[in-house]
Amino acid sequence: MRTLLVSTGVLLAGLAGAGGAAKVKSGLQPGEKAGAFQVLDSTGPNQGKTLCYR
Amino acid sequence: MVAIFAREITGTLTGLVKEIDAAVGKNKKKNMAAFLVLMTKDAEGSDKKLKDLAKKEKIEHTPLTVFDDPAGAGPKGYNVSKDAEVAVIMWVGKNRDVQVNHAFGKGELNADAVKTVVADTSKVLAKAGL
Repeated sequence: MRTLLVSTGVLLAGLAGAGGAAKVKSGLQPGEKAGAFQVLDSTGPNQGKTLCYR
Repeated sequence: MVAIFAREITGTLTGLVKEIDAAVGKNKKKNMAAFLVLMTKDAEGSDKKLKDLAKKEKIEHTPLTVFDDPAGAGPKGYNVSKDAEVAVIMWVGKNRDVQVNHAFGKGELNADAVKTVVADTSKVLAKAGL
């Protein structure tokens, strides 16, 4: 019984750790290169223009 | 370059943009730049919202832009997750090598996260020798 409880505790701790570490992964990662894409400028010196800021 | 990708305008996003805008203002001589990309299905409505936001919050150094995004997938090749409400990517140099990536799910962008992101701008500038 003790072994089972300890095992369950270890398992739960592991799951909690994994949950805590889980973060959204999104977008280019370090080491990758930023590619071109077009946006509409709403503000700034290029307001109203469609351009790429890359 | 600091690119902030967002799906909606929130108070914390506005705070982040203002902090980054201030950092850009301080580091103009180092060629630091930033822009916000609002990924939206309503490009026209978002354009007006961003104009109003810049005026109200006095965002002067960071262009606020709209990416017409009916599929919610973000710019091609950027691998923007549908679970990410905000993602901040920083790159440097002519090769546009990404140095930093921060992604935040719904409600995850908080004051501490904003501090972390802003602190990383200094690290990236230092790493680039600027």
